[in-house]
Amino acid sequence: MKTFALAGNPNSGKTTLFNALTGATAHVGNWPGVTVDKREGVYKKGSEPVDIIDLPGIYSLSPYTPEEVISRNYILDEHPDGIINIVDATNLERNLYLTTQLLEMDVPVIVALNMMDEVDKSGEKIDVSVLEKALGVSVVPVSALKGKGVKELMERAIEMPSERKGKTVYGGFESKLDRLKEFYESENFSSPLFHAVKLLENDELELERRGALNARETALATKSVSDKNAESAATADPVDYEAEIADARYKFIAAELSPARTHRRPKNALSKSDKIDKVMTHRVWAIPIFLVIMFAIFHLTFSENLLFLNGFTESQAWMPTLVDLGLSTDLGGGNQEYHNFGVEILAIFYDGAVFSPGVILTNILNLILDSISGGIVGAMESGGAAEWAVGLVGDGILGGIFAVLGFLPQILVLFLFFSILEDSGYMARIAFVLDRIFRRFGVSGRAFMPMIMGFGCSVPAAINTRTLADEKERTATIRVIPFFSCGAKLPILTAVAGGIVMAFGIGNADVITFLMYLLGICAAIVCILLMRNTSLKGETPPFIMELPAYHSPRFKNLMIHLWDKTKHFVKKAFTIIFASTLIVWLFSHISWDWKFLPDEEMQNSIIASLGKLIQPLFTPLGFGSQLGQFGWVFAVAAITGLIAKENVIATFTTLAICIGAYVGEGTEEGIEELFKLIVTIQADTGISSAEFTAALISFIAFNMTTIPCFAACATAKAELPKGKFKWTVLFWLATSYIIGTMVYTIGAWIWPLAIWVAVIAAVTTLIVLRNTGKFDVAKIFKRKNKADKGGTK
Amino acid sequence: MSLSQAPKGEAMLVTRVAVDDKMRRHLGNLGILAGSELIPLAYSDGNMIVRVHDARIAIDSTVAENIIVRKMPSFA
Repeated sequence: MKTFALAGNPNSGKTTLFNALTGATAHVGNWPGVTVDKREGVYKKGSEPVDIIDLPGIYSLSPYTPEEVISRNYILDEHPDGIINIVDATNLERNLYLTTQLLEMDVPVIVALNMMDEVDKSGEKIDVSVLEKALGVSVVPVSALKGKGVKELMERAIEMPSERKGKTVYGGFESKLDRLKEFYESENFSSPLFHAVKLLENDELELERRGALNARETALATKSVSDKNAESAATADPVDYEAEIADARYKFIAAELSPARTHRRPKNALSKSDKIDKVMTHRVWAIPIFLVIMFAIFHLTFSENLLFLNGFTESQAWMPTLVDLGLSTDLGGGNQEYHNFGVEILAIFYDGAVFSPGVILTNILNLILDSISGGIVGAMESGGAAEWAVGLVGDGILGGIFAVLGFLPQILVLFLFFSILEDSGYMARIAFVLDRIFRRFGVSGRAFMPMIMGFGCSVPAAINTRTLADEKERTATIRVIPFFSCGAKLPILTAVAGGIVMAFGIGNADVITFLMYLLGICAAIVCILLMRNTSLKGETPPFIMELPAYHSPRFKNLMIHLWDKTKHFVKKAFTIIFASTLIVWLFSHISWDWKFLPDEEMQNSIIASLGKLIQPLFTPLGFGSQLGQFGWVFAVAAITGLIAKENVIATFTTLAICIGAYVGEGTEEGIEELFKLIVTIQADTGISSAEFTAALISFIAFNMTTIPCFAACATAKAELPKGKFKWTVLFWLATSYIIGTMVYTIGAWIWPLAIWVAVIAAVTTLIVLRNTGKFDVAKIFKRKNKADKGGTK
Repeated sequence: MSLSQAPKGEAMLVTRVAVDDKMRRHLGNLGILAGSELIPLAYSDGNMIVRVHDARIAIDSTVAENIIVRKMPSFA
C-alpha cells in the first residue's frame, strides 16, 4: 500500500482534508497548532487503498517548536511514497515558502490548493497552470471542507512517478550546495540536496551530525567564481546564508508565482476578519468583552436563574416556587413531591426561577436516569432479590454511575460554547489579548491555548504544550494545567456546591462554581509566578502567533467535538468508574474477617478502617478528624479520585447512600446525597456551619489542585523534560495541601488570614531579595559550613 | 524606526530584524524578514498585529521593538 503524508502550514486545512479523505473525525480547530502529533488513516475511494498520514502544521522545515520536529523527521526518516502539500490559496505566498523547501527533498510532491472557494468568493483569480509550470509539480485546486476536487487530487497523487529528484527553485548557491551534497552522498543520505541546503542555513539539527560542521567549513572556504558571495566567504564578516536563502525563496515566489494571481484587492483594504478584529482585539475593550463572554457561558451552563429574570439577590426574587403555586408539596430536607406528571415536567424548566439551558438538560437526563434506576431497583425488590443484591445494584453500581452521568449535559453545553469560540477563530485572539497580562507572570499568551483546553481534559492540554518553544515555559504550563478544572472535576464542584447551598442556604450554586473556577485560575497564576522566579527562572518567551481568519462555526465540527466528548465520558463511566464504584461498594461491605456487612455496620468495613487511618492527614484542610466517625468518607473519595476524578462524586454517592444518611427518592445528581451526608455529620459532631462550609470548599479546592487522574499523570510524565515528573507530583501535593489549608483556616475563622498574609509577604520578600542578589542562600550555607569546620578543629 | 512606532494601516518595508538566530528564523518562516512588506493592523499595549502577505501575525512588544522598518516608497 502506498503512503502519502499531508504537509502544510498550520491551520491550512490538513486535518479537514484528512477527515475528508479517510472518513475520520479528527479534531479540527480554527487556530494554528491543533494537530500536535501525526495521525494515520486509509483512503479507500480510489483505484487502490492509500495510507494517509496527517502531520502537524509547519511553517518551514527548520523547526521552531517540538511539534514541527515531528513533521520534519517523519518526512525524512519514514520515506513516504509522496507528499500532499496543502497550500492555503488565501495566503498563497507564505504557504508556498514551505513548498519551495519540500521540493528540495527526493520525494514526489503534489500541491493541493485548498480554500479555492474562498478565493473565488473574493473575486480573485489564481491561474493553476502558471503555478504548475513554475513549481514543476502537479497543482490541484480543492475545497477540503466541501470535499471538492479531493477525488482528482488522489487520482493524480496515485499516478505520480515513484521517484523525484529534489531541486532548488532559486539560483546563486549551486557550487556550495554541490560540495555539501557530496558530503551527504558519501554518507549515503537520501535527499542530499535538502540536507545540503539546511546545513548551509546553519540548521542546528544538521550541524549536530558528525563531520557536518567540518564539511560546511571546507565547502565555504573553497572560492568559486559562480558563487554570488564568493569574496565575502573569506572575509571576516560571515555571510548569513539562512537570510540569503530565505530571501531568495521569497524573491522566487514574488517573481514566478505571484503572477498567477490576478484581480487582487488593494493591499491596504481591510478584510472582514480585520474589521472584526478592530473590535475584538481593541486596546481597551478586548478584555471586558472576553470576561463578559466567559461569564455568559458559565451563566448559560450553570445558572438556575436565567438572565437574572428573578432579580440579582434573594430580596429581589419575585417568582413563586412550585410549592408556592400549590403544585407540589414540600417534604422537607430539599425533597418535594410533585402533584402530577405535568408538574414534574414543568420542574425541569422552572422552579422559583427560570433555569439555564445547561440545567434544563441536566434535569431532563436525571428524570430519565431516576426512572431507570427506580424501575430496576423496584423490579428487583418485588422479584424478591436478596438485600445485598439490591444494595449492590442500586447503591453500588447505579448510584455511582448515574451520579457521574448526570453531569454530562452541563459538560456538553460548556463544551459546545468553547467549541464555538474555538471554531470561529476567537480563541487565538484571546491568546493575543491575554499575552500582555500573561507576560507579567512569565509566560507568553501562547500558553493560553493549552490552559483553556485544560477545562476540557488535562490529557490533550498537556500534549498541546508542544506548541510552546521554550522548555521552561512548557514545564510551568504542564504543571498548572490540572488547576484549570477539567470536565471530570465539574461534578465535584457542582455537587459539593449544591450540597452547601442546600444545607446552609448560602449563596447560589452557580456563583460558588464560578468562584471555584476562578480560584483554580488564580492558583495557576500564583504558581507560574512563583516557578518563573525560583525553580524555572528565565526570560519570558516571545509571543509570535498567526491569527486565523474568522469564520462562522461549522455545525459538523461542533457535533464531532461533542460526540467525541460524549463517547469518552460515557465509556469512562461504564468502565473505570463502574469498576471503581463496585470495588468501593464491596470493600465498604466486607470486614477484615471477610464477612458481609449490612449498610448499618459499614463503620467496621475494610474501607472505613483504611479511611480512618488516613483521615487525620486531612485535618489541617478541614475534612479530617474534626468530621468525626463519618469523616473518612472524604478521605476515601479524594483517594479514589486519583484513578478518575469522576470517582470522587461516585464514591460519595455510593457511601452516602449506604451510611443511611440518604433517605427517600431524589435526583441522582449527588447533591442530595451530599446534603444528607452533611446533615448527618453535623448532627454527629456539632461542627459549626461556617467551619463545615469552609471545610467543604477546601475539599473542592484540594481536589481541583491535587495530583490529577492517572491518565493525566502519564501524559504529563511523557511531555515533561526528563527528571521533572517527580518534582511535579510533589508540587501538586504541596500546592493542594497549602491551598486547602488556606481556604479552610481563613474560611472558618478569618483571623488566620493575617498569618497567611504575613507568610506570603515574607516568602515574596525573600524571593525578590534573592533574585536581586541581596540575599544569597548558597553563600549563607557556605559561611555556615566554614564556621562548622572551624569549630571542629 | 522600530515596528512599534510604525503608523497603523500604512505599508512598511522591513530593513532589519535584530533578534536572536532562532527567532529570526521563525519570523522569516512567517514571512517577516529584511525586504518584506508589512502593514500594522492593531496595537495593544505594545503588542501588535501585522499583516504579512495575506496572514495576520500577532507579535509581542519586545519582538516588535527589534524589527526595524521604514515607510514603503510610494510610486503614486
